[in-house]
Amino acid sequence: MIRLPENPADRKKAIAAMAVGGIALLYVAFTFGIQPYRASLHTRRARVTELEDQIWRAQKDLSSTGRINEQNNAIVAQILAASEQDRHILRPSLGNYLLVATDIINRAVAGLDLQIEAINELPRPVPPPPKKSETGPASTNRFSPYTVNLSITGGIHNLARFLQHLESDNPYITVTRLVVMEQAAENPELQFISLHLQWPIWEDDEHPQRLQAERIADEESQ
Amino acid sequence: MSLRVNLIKEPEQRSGSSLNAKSITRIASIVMPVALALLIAQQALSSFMLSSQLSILESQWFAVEPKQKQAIKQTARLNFNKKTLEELDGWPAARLDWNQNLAAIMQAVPDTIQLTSLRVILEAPPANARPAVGSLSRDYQLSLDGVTRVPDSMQVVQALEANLRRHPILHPLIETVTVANFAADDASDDKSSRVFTIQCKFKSPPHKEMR
Repeated sequence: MIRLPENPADRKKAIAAMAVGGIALLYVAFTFGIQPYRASLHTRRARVTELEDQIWRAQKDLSSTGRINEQNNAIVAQILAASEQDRHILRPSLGNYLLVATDIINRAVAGLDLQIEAINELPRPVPPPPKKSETGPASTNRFSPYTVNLSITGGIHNLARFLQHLESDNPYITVTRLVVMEQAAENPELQFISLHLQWPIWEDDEHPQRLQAERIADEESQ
Repeated sequence: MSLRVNLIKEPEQRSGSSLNAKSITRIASIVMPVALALLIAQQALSSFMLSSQLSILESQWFAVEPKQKQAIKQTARLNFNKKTLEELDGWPAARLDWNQNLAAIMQAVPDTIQLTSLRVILEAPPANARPAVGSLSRDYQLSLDGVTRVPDSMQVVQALEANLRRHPILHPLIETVTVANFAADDASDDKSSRVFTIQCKFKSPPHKEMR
């Protein structure tokens, strides 16, 4: 047991020294003990809250995975059906779209009293620069128009039937320009027809292959 | 007058109370360390529990994070494919079936009119302009040139205009029908012969429900 000095003056000095020592000890304990401890506690509590929130979000995301996969599979199936199965999106033959378009036109005109004089490819529009997106990849068109010009001789009723064949076979094929002109006043049934037919084509020709690969990978992972 | 004399020296003076400074110091010397020890133990325990909770959550997060990344990737793929399908669906939605329209125009033309030309053009945007991302807009304009050689040619042309406007196939598609030109036929010797131009502006798509 520490004894305080008998002399009141010395005792006061000793008490003052002890008080200063005590305050210094408290300061050291607060600065190097309590404060770091409280900071560490605060950091860990914040991390716990953050992790709880992240896990809750993750579980929410995971709970909808099945529904998202189903939706995605259905959409991919629709796109691939239009592109690869029904060929409604014009697909090239060895890089040549005109040959494929010509085949489609010739099939549609078969049996009709129409004379196809010429089929020409129209220059393709230049793709616009992609729009920047803050949340995802740059936004661009997936499809671009492919247009051919047809020069035809024939009657307007046969032209309507020809268009019916094309339009009923493919919901995406579009007439973008049509000019029907009388060829000779003596024969009003015979007209000169200029027609622009337009198909959608893939902006990135390999996109359907990637979709198919993704679908196969999804099926294998399930 | 009473006199009070205290003969005890100041250092030897004692308080009459049972709670003197010495006893308080003694009690405090026991209670304070015990309280401090309890506080430290409580803090250590809560710190340990927090650490163990953190450790459990960290391990849960490490297990769930790759799956969540996969789910986010899958959602991004779904959104991308949705936009692709929307863009694809824009094509039939913006289309006019010209086989039906041509047949309708033929039905609308009175027997006393001979059409000399029929023009369908895309008004805006220009033919080789690209549509905005994810949307497709086709504004068609139809122009019919013809000749009529009957005395009441004005009524006949007006009848054609009315027929075009009222035709059940064309009516929902057409925005305006106007007779842009009605004049004597300079190329014909027949004085009753009239040439005319009728212009139809079609409504902007979509005309059909998208999938």
